[in-house]
Amino acid sequence: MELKIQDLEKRFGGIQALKGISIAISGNELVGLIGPNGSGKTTLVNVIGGIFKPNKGKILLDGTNITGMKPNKVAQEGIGRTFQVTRAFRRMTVMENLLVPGMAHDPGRGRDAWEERGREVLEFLTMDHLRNDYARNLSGGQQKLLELGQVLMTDPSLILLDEPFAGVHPKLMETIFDYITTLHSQGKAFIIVSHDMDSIFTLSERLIVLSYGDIIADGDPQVVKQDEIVIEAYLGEEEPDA
Amino acid sequence: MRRITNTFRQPVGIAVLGGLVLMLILPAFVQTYWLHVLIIAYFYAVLASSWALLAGYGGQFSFAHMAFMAIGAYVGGLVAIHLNVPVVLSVAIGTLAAGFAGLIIGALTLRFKAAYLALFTIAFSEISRTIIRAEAQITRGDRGLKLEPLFPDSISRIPDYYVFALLLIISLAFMYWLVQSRIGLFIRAIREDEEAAAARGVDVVRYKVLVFVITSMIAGIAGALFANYVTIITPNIMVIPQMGLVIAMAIIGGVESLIAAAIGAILIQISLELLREFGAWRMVIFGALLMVTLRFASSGLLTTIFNRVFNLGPKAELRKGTVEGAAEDGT
Repeated sequence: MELKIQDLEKRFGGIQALKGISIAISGNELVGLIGPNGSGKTTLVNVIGGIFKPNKGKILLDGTNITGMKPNKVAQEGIGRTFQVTRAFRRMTVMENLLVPGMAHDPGRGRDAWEERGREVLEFLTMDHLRNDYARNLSGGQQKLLELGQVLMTDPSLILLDEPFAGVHPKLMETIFDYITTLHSQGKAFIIVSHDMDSIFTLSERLIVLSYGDIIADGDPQVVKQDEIVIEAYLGEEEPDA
Repeated sequence: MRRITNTFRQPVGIAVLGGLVLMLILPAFVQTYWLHVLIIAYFYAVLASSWALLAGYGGQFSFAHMAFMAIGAYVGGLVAIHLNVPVVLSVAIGTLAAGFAGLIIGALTLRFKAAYLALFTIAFSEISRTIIRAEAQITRGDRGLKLEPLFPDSISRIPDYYVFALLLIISLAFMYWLVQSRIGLFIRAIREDEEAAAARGVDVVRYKVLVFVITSMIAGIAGALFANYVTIITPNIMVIPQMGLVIAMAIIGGVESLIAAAIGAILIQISLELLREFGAWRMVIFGALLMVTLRFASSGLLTTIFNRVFNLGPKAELRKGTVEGAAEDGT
């Protein structure tokens, strides 16, 4: 997998959410994306995922230009994503939630084959006993896992996780952490947006810090942690003495 | 096939088969007047169930369904009059015209949220009705367009009854197949969350328009056949209260169940006929029933009853899931 983001810009009216961002990710890198509120993290994920069209710049996935592609086409190209606020299909069962990405990806494979794949994914997530439950009846954490399951159905090469640990019970947070580690060891690349500093610093191999739509740091998490610009972006400048 | 076989093993399958048999033998037991009532009821059942597919499954709350029905009726009728084609061909052309109109309206309203879609389709309905009234030299306006009957040589209503019974059975079977297929899966996902469905690989534009076209065509064929049955079609058939009647039938039956919406329409049409002596009060009773449904059985009065009788629905699914899960865990 090779993702190249070149000079990406996104404006909403007078607000420039992304200011010419360039990132290259290859292999099965596990990249953390952090930054203060409003720094452009989710916007970047939405532009990569096709929900927003960029005003400028290019996104290449394994050499294919996916800039401005519709979200369904981006998904077909091999990028899976979750949302900051869980968006499982609430009035559909867990299995139906999994069948949607599967059948959309390759309808020729048939419903029975995709149900089998769904069972595999649910077993991996230890949720098989919930397959006939409606998504609306799951807890918030289970819905997060279900979204991850939807992503895993089509075996994408790159997974974008937007706040996977937000609002999740500490025990379930550990579980999600373990799933990400396992999937990463199986060759999946990740871009993970998170406000949970402990998890993201432990999990990431590389950390990108955004502030006001710009990259202010990109590198080893332990080095980024000490970066003065990053500390300043998070904590703000010291007020001058009166 | 496995899914169909399983369905017919269950009580719901037996009930469906019983209903089919009843539909087929009814003409032997009812008078001509009640055959007419049943034909009208089946006509509304086709409209209510296809609207349930569009709104209940697809999440597109359209008020243009009766307009598509009227487009099928008028285009079919005008083609039959001016080109002197057989009824079958005129009905087919009317159906295609309704589908084409559905394609245009479906594409134009793609990005609309519920309230805007409702307003747009009300406007479309009223514009269509006004055009039909205004272009009286073509459509005969309020005087109505006179058409050939479906069976000119028959003095009985039985052949017409079977046409509408078959239309209802075939359209329900087709829509049932559709909602069980991947298309049904996708349109429900789109109803739940368009953006999330797209992120899961669903071509939202294609399936939203497709469901609009399919339901418009079903309304169109019902309209074209109905026009030839009553032999006169006027713009009054597409007034907003008529659309409200179809919506209310679907809601009282159950907007997320094709069969419940259809049965709701049949029962309400028959009830309105039985309550005819109550005059305007029958509409008050009907309105009160709608309000009770919306307040106490939002998934539909009949759906709620069916779920209890046949042990279906979310709670039953949950019980089933728990029992199956426990069985597999060995607990």
